[in-house]
Order: sequence, then structure tokens, then C-alpha cells
Amino acid sequence: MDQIDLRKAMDACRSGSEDLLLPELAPLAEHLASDSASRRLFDCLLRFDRRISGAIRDVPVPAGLAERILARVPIASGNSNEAASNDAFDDAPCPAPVTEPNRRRMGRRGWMLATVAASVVVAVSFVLWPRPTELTADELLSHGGEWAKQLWKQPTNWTPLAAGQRELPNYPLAAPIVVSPSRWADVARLSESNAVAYDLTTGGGQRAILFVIREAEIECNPTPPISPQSSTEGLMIGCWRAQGVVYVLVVDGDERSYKSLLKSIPAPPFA
Amino acid sequence: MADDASAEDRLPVGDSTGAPIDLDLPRLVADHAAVLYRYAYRLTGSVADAEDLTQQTFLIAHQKLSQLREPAGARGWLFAVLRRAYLKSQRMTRRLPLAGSAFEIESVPDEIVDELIVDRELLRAAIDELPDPYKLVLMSFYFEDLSYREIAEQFELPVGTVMSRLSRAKSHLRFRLLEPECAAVADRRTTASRQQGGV
Repeated sequence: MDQIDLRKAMDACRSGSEDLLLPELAPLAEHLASDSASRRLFDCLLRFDRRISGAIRDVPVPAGLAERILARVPIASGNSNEAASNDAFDDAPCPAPVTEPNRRRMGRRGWMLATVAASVVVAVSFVLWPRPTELTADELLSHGGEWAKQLWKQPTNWTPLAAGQRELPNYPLAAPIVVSPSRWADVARLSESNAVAYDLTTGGGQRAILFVIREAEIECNPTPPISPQSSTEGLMIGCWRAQGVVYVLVVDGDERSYKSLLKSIPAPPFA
Repeated sequence: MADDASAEDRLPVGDSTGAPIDLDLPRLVADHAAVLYRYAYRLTGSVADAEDLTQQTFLIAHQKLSQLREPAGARGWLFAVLRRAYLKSQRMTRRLPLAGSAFEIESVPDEIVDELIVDRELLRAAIDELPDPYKLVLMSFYFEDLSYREIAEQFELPVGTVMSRLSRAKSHLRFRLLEPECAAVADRRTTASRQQGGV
């Protein structure tokens, strides 16, 4: 367990809880049993947590809050559909549609049917459509390294690409990548997102993987970073968004190895 | 953290058979308005915005009350409504400030942590600096007393992502709240040693 993982595990524990019994925290529990310095640090973090927890909840509530809320809600509920439509509760069943007294009866019924039909379509789409991946770019870089290590460490069901095939239809290979992948793997389970990995390992044995993630809501550069954004444990990692997908390039090597996989990108003109 | 349930934190009682329950708005407001307001204040960092957000939460709750089947779920449901209303109002995305990443709590003397009096304004500012993905995870941890697993389920995020966000958000808070204390202690020591040296 490295220092970063150790700190994450410590920070995940709630003071006064039995979180250390959870499976993800078993390595932490073992470590604490054998390392007194870590135990001291853990105690210190929990003490700080208790202070913060109390302070975070210690917010003075304005006098008359409940009365003001109750006074406003019945008035506002006369126009309640306006508030409901804006809607802080998108995945809840749809409320009754807006009705106007002077609208014709058939018209109103038609609108109601249309609203119900639209709600069904939206609900079905919500259930069937893959959920977007919501990560920050920093998290993505960190995860990219972890995913690559997992793929290299464990047996993976790689599928060779057919002769002449450079990419899968829905997972375009990034244009600036100069190496053609030999095979690909479905990494949806590993990454918990709609993603595949292309193996870009070269003939010289330099290991590299390009992850292509669809439906990802991640703010990234529009072009591959010319230098890796993350370089930890011998892995050079960069991410960018293009062609409607997010790319994470992980190279086992140095900065030169990373750059060797990318076409040189012209610098943007001066504004 | 769950042992300090105050009067407003108590859950309403009612039928748990799955039938619509007898929960009216006044009861919900009486039971949950204060805790929701505190939560809203920590998200928005503003008294006026917190009250508006709490108001909006109960307005939506009033319209959707029939969907609530389990009285024990009222508090979690209201928190979820409030979070969604808050996120609807937020469009800015910010990067997590990285200043705290170099701050090591290992170097902080025990007495500073033990005697820390949290400055309310500093705490508000520190939370306000966090981008929403970090802030919401942090609030679920401290405010709702959820485990990292429960937070992962609530936000449909991988457990590793939740642990990572939680750790970085906490690291930021530690930096913002402890670093000034450490600097003050160092200053006092320097002054004392100068006085002892007759300077």
C-alpha cells in the first residue's frame, strides 16, 4: 500500500465507525496493526475529523425559518408546475401537466397524452442509455494509470484487430496517435464506464495503452498534451477530448517514449 | 458522527408497509428545515442562498410528497432534492486548488489539532473553494454521516473515485484550517526566542 493509497483509506474512515471492517479498508487495518507511526497519524486525522464534523454542522439557523417556508409554500404551490418543471427532481415521475381553464378540452387531453408519452420516452431513455462518466481530469489521469497497471498485471481478454482494421466503429482511434494498435479490450467493467483499451505496445516492447471513453463528462484539452500531464511510477499519462470521446494515453516509459507515440502538434497561433 | 441527532434530525414516524404515508409539509418542515438549511449553507456559503435553496427544496417536496413511501427515507430524500436543486443552479466548473497537496498533517503538533478552534469564516471559505464534485462528497461524509460505499452508491461513482475526492477535499480543509495555526505557533516561538535572546 503506497502512501497515497494509505492516506485515501485513512480519509475514508469515519470517526467512531466500524469502517475499518469494510473489505476495501482491510489493507489499512493490517497496516495500522503493525505500524505505530501510521496509527498516530490515523488518530490525528480522526481527531481533526471530529472537530470539523462538529464545526460543519454548527450553522446558526435564522429565526422564523420554518414559518417563512410554510408561509411561502401554499402561495407558491398555486403556480407549482413552474417550479416542478425547472426541475430538481428529473428522475421522479412527471407531475400533472400545466392546465389552463380556457383551453379546449380535447386540446388539453392531447397535451396530457403527449406529456405522458414524452415522459415514458424520457424514462426509457434514462434507463437504457449508458450513464455518463463524471470524473475530473485529475481523477481520470490517476485512474488511467491504475487501469493500465491492472491490464498489464492480470490476464486480459484482448481481441486482435482484423487485418487492415485500425479501430472499432464507435471508438475512434485518436488521429494524433502514430502507432496502429494490434488488439483491443473491453474495459467497461474495469473503468466502470463505456470504454475500450487499445494496446499500443510497439515492436521494441515499449508498453502503452490508449483508453477511449464514450459518454464521459470530463473537461479536458481538445488536443493531446505535448508533455505528459502525470508522470508517476514510471507511467507517463495524458488525456484529451476529441471526436466526442475522451482519450487517456498511458505509456510505460519516459517523456520521450510518450512523445514518440504522438504526431507533433502545431502550436496554436497567437491570439 | 451519527450520535448527535438533534430534534430537527429525527425522522418522522409512519407506516412502513409501502402505502402512501401520512406526512404533511408542516411536519416535514418542523423535522428537517434546520438541518437542510445548515446543509444548504455549507453548499452555497451564503445565508440568503441557503434559505432560498431550503425554500425551493420544500416547494418541490410539497409537489412530490406522494412519491415518498418510506418515512425513514424522508431525510435522505430531502437531501437528494436539495442537492439536485443546488446543482441545477451551478454551472461553473472549477479545478480543485492544489495548494493543500504539499501540506503534511504529520508535521502538525498534536496540540494544534486538539486545541483547534475552527474559524467559521475560514471554514466557509475553504468549503466554498472546493469544486462541487468534491464539496458534495465531503458534505455527504460529514453531514449525512455516510460511508464511502454509501456515497458511491448515492452518486453512482466508483468507490475509488469517492475515496480520492474525499481525501483531496479533506486535505484541502486541513491545509486551509491548520496551516494558519502552524504559522501562528511558529511566529510565537520565533518571538519568544528573540525575547529570550534579548533582541
